[in-house]
Amino acid sequence: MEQDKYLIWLSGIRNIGGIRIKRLIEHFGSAKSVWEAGREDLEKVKGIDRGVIRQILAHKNEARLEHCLYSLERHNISTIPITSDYYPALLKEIYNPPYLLYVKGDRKALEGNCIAIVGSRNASYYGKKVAFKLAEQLARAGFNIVSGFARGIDSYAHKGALAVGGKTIAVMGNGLDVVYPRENYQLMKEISGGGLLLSEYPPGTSPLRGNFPARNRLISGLSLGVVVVEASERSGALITADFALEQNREVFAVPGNINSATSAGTNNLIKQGAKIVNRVEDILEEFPFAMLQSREKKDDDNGLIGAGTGKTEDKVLRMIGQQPVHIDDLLSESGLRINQLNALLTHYEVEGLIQRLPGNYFVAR
Amino acid sequence: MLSKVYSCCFFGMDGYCVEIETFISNGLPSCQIVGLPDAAVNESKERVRSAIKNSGMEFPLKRITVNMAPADIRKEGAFYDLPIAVGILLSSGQVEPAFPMEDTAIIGELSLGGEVKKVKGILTMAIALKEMGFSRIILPRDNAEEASIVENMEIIGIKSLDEAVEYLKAPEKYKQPKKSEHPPEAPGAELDLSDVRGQENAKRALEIAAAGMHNIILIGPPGSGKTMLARRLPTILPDLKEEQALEVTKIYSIAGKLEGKSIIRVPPFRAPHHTISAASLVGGGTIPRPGEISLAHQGVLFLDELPEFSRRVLEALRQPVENEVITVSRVNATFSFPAKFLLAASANPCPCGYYGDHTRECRCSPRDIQKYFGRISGPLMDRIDLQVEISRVPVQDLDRRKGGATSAEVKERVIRAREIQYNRLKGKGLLYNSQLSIKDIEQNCRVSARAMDFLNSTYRRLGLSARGYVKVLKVARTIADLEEKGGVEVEDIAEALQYRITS
Repeated sequence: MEQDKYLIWLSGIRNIGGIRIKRLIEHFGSAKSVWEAGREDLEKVKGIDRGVIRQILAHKNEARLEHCLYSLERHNISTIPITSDYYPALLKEIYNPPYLLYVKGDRKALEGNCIAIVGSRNASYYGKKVAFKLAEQLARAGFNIVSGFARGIDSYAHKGALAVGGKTIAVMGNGLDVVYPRENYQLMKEISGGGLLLSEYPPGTSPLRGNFPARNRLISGLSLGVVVVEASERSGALITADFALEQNREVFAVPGNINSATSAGTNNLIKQGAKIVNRVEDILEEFPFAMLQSREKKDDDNGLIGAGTGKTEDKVLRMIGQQPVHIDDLLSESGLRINQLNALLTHYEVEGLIQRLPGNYFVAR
Repeated sequence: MLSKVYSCCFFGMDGYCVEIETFISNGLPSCQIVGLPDAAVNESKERVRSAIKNSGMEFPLKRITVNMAPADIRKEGAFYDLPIAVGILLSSGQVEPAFPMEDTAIIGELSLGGEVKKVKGILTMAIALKEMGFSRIILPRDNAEEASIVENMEIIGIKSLDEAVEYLKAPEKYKQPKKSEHPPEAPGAELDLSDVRGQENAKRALEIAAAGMHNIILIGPPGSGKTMLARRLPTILPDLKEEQALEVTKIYSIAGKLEGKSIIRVPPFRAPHHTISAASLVGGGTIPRPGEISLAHQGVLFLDELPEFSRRVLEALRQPVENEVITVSRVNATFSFPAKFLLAASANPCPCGYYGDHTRECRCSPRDIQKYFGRISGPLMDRIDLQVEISRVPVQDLDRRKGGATSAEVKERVIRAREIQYNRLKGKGLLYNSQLSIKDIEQNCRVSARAMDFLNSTYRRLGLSARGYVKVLKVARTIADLEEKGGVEVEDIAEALQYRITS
């Protein structure tokens, strides 16, 4: 543990990444010796310039380190150095893996095969639903679901995995004692129970803008493949897809309506050669071992999104599909009077057949 | 020599008689006005002096005392110029009236040249004077038409001090000015519900709101037509009944907003901007004047962008929405103005306006949205029965959508539903379903057992609160009235549920 303490100190220094830490430790033998080293000693290390040395020395503060250790203990956060057996093998392969990981929850989540499900924070109803379903089905097939704990798609991916008792890993861009986004407080608690929270940042780090692209490299780095469910043209999820290609991982994309702004990014990915996902098998067949596993656990719920309501005799119900329909269109196409239509819609809503979306749009559940 | 003429003042919605006594005695030339005059009244002696001289008469170079009784009410405004001038002329013996002045009241503001100018609140004063037994009012010509609504009252419209003097000397020579024929007044006649293409759902909500006087909130992104819809709400409200019209006209008369109309028969529509202060919304001033809510009396008060209104302003709305009257207390008196209006509000679905929009991305977090609607307090939201969401109609789709029913057709249905409500509720002294209390609902709504079962089994599933439950019942009652049904059926409840408040 003594060894760890100094490693925590070392990895907590800003601007010192995995590569420099490795170099320092190789030179001095241990993190403790780095702590004890003076300016002259440090100057002898190759690739460590004056600026870095200044930062190392400035950061040498016993009280601050003690406080950091205290936070770790208080929040039940543990650390995994790159040298540990727990450290995910896939992550070691990437360029610049973090030297130390902070984790909270069930470490076993790191052992299984992971798939990342990512997407926009501003997701549509369709995107959220697909993310949830995909996570459910992939989790049933034995995958652990990795995502970024952001609003929208990410949150639904985590929820989907938890819903079927699967494991999920939330990779955060902040310290694990910080709840961000705030409304995900409950989800954070659930994941630290049935999954794992993971971050390369020490406790107390706030969710800075610059942390998130770096976090994205961990999401893809942990996973065999990345599924982008919904992304607008400039979504952060596309950064994750770029990292995945760089790290030689599979990239999947869920197609969307060509008019939908929230699917512009994913549709572009498909154009560029990402594998199109219509059903969960499209992902599973890329991983033959998983295909075998899932065949054993075959169940009937195979459609990604509900079977729809196409079979019904009811005229109005038939018009409400997966694409949100506006009430005005329902009205003009059904030929009903507005009061009749309203009453009918309430009945369907109560029976759980349809869902009302903001702006008086309706979709099938 | 002493003279006495009568004039009038108004306080809130009521008019009072003011006696103006003028006494001219020997002494150093001076002119004193006593009897709690405010600055405008005190300045009137300067106008009076100049007006008398410029009308070719003489301002007596003596000691003049003008007393305004009752002495304990503050006299405000400039409309005592004419009676004071007449009083001085009578008391200096320059004018000998050809008839007794006991049943004549004089109102008017003078210019330095002796012309008589239009004043505010004539209708209120004329009504009050009639009640006090006066039979003749001498007033500015420009106000004559407004006052002529009051029956059995001789209205003498004059343009100058000269004319007033002429009349006093020889009333038989006075010629009643020809009544200008106002076309049947209907502002907003150019607006019609069928101007709005599509949005049938919202139009139906407006119809229900109008029929049961249910307050309504329209939620939709910018450019979706919230304001356009709300502006058409008055076109489907029934025309004002005689006494309602008189009351509304009185309010506009006091506020000086009649703008040449003689009587207002169309429900007013007021849409104050969200930067409005609490005082101008509910009424204020040392002697309070009616605010926007009273100007919207018997009509529609439209608050566009409701969450942008300041908290204080919205809180001030609560009491009048409940009591249908606004009471403003001042040190010397308490004033009440009627304020029975249909509250129509609009809001964006989120601060950026694009939540739920399918073409633009919304940039608001759930917390932002919560904060945005949090600005509307719970108690105010409780007074709103209907919520309708509106989305933008793509321009290329506009041609495809139909205009639907015209205002006249909808108004017809609204009037019938109002009659049904009136007949059912008259025993209780209520007029509309929205006024029903929980206790009244049980007795008056006549909800069928099946409908009740349906509501009970669904309201929790749809996330309705106890208050929401009551609102659904009231709205369902109005829907049944629009269909001219005796009892509330499942379909009525189901439709009402589509307009439930969710935010």
